Amino acid sequence: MCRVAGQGRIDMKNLQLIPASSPDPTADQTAPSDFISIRNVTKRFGSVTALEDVSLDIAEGEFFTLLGPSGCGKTTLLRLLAGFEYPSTGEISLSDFDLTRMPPNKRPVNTVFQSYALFPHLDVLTNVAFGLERLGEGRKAAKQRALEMLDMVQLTGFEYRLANELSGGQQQRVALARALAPRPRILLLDEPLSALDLKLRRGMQSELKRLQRATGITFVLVTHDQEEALSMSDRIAVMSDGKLLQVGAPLDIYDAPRNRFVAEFVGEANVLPGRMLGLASPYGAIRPERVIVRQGGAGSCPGRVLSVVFVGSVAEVEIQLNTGQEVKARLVDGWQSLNAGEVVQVEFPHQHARTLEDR
Amino acid sequence: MALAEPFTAKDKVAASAKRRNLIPFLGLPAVAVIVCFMVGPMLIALSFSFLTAGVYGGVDLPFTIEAYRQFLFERNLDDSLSFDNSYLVIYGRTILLAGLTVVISIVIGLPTAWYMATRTPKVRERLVLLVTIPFWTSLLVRTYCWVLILRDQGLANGLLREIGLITEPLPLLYSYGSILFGLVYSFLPFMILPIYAALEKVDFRLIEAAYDLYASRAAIFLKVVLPLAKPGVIAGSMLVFAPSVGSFLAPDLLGGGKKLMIGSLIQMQFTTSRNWSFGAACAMLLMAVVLTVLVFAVRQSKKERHA
Amino acid sequence: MKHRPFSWRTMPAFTAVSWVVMVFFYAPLIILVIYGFNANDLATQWGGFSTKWFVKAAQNDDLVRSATNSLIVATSATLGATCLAIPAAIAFERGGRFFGRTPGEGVLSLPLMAPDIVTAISTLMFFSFVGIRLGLGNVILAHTVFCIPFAVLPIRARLREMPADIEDAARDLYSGPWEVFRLVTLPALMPGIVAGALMAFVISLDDFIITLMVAEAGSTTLPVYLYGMLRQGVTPEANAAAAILLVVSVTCVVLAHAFAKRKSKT
Repeated sequence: MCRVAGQGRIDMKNLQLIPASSPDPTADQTAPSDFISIRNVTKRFGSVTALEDVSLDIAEGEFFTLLGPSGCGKTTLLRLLAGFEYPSTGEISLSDFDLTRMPPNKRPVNTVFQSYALFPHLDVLTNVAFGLERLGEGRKAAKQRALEMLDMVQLTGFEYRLANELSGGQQQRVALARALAPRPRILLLDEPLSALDLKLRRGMQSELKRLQRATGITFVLVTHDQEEALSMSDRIAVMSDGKLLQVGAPLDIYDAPRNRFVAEFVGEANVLPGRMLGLASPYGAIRPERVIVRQGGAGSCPGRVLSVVFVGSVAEVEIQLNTGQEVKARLVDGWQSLNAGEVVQVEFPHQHARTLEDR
Repeated sequence: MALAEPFTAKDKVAASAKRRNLIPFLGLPAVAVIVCFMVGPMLIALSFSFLTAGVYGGVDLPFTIEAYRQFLFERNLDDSLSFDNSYLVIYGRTILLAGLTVVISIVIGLPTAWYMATRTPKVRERLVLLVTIPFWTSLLVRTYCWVLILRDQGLANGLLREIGLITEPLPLLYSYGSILFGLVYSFLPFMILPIYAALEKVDFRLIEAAYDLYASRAAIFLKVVLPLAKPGVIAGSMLVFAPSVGSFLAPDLLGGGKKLMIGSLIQMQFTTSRNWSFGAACAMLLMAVVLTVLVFAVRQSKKERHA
Repeated sequence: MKHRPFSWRTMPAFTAVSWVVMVFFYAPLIILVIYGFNANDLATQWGGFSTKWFVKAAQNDDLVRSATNSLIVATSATLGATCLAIPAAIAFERGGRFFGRTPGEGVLSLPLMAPDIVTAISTLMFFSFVGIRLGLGNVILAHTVFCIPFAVLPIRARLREMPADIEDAARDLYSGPWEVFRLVTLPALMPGIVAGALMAFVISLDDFIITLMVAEAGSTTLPVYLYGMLRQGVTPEANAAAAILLVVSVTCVVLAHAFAKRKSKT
């Protein structure tokens, strides 16, 4: 057992957190909201600031996603959680345990790497059993557990292959099994699906979700793919330029983006001056599927159709308003009769317009 | 490891800071060994070149520049000095032969490297192995092969006699030609491999597209092939020149030791002549030649990178 | 008239030059091996196939002793150089930027740049000046030094192309620094280490001039002994001995290449 700054112990065999204050480990421990707690964390590499004053709480058992474009600091935050880097300032804790400068091998946290990082000299089974054996599990028990894990990711029969003999999707599953085998409290996933092709990615998305529900382990996923984030996560944190912009459930993020970056990065948005949308704020946003387009007649917002593109379930219509702004609308019906150059009336239903805090 | 050792915040900070800074120290043993047993010895050689030669080898005090004086001047019976260019001639001849070796290596090595770099990856790998094998094979054995071929009763003369071109054996061995031949044979891989490395990174389709219609082959060679190969040519020239100018085996076995070259001159000072300080001085002058060329080559490649 | 488009693949002159070069490289070596099997007492006159000169070489005590010395020296120097090369490769490949990096790299590549004859006489004078007289030990020491950079190169190359993140993955999976090295870095590095060791072995085995200057009477190696033989004249026995040395070197290089190739697959 390892005592952490007098606050409690981490059982390094079963990766259980045992708070000192609670004599009964089964008793209700801490409020779920501060399972993982990141407090005012800043990370600098030389003169570059990768993360600036980030504060964030992640609940136990949550599927949490860090979403943002490349270079936004999401991977840095993940590496701080894993322990590969330590924060320049600020603190990270897990329940009551101070993780800030705890080395990665002492954290009940495992990572699925973007490159998978399978050990090239070990077969699949030994790869999966690696963490368990390091935790002191007997060879036999570790192997048994590894076999179970391989079964869970549907790789039974591949036990004695080497990593380079597997396809990308299979390597991905091995990496997942290897990280889940020690039953970590937190699983970190660094763009785990980015190297897979589209079809495989869809399949792995639902598989990841299934695994997370089955194990109840807290998942923290890093991705730049908003669709992936929206479809899998319980909550999403949108990041840009080393800063946390908005944290919330997928629907909240999509439906009530706080600022222009979030509005445009998560889904598509028309960002317009507030008064055009009937808002008091200087800027507002409305989703293209909420925009109403009428042919002919009079209205407050006339414009000219620039293009009509049929993309499958809907058509995307680009319109230049007489006031100069370009607006995108996504129409299920009524686009067939629209032609480029045609004069139309655009309406922005007030109940779907959203106030943006800043531009 | 059911029980992890207790650790405090202070420990953790120290451990992480240390791990980062300790890695460079891993290089210390290797660097120390080379400093002790190669840099040190070279410094000793440098200082020995300023000492007086011992009668039976070795060196004695006092410090003197006699060894370097001996390089340029002959001491007459009456202790007066007269200019003697025989050592300068040896150096000039060796440098000239090494320079010729470089030039011939470029002329042969450039097309070869170009050919290799334009093959498919699989063929490329095999060709690199084919060039690498001689690179690692005993220089003595490789030089000796040419003795077998070039000597009077050797394969070349034998064949020529067979087909009736000659009746008396041609004196192929023991000439500047045979030394040059041996040097090129010895060090050609050092030219091919760096040029290949430089050309390997080039996307040849771009050249093909750009010069599709309007350039003659000569123009392509001068304006495309040469500039692309230049960094490799510079590195290769250095790698061929340094061992050529200090070579011992090719002049000794193929030159018969009659055309004295720097390598043999230095070696003689430690065997038959037993003049260590002069030998050390000759070695230092050789080192100076190599370093001068090295500095020149580095400067050229830097200029290349900025251009 | 339409210009024929330039094809970089079919430069006929370049192709011809390349194959002439390959023949130029290998023909003499093949000829040597053939001469090694020559039954004739005259070294360069063919008298039928025979292995008698190999047998005779094997019965030559001096030759066998020098060959044994060669093996002892090459094995010891390889061990020493490889043990020094592994941490050095890690330091320069993983150490980031640190004080003394550039001079360190310079020192490490010195044995590659310095002409052998200069190294040879410097080492000779050093041993005499310091008074080290260990017999074969002197030769081993000298060989270890110049083998280091040759062992370092493949290990560094391997470190550079080792799958990214596997050391982080090991740390993540509850391995301390020593376990990371023992269980992941070292085994994953193994192909590079073997290739480096084989390179060092060949370089030591083939060295001539440094051994010639440094070795005392009882501690000559095969190339030095062979050189002595050649100075006496071209003999079939010398051909056989040279052929053996040649075959051993080529085998080592091909093996090293096979290991280096294995590394690029992982």
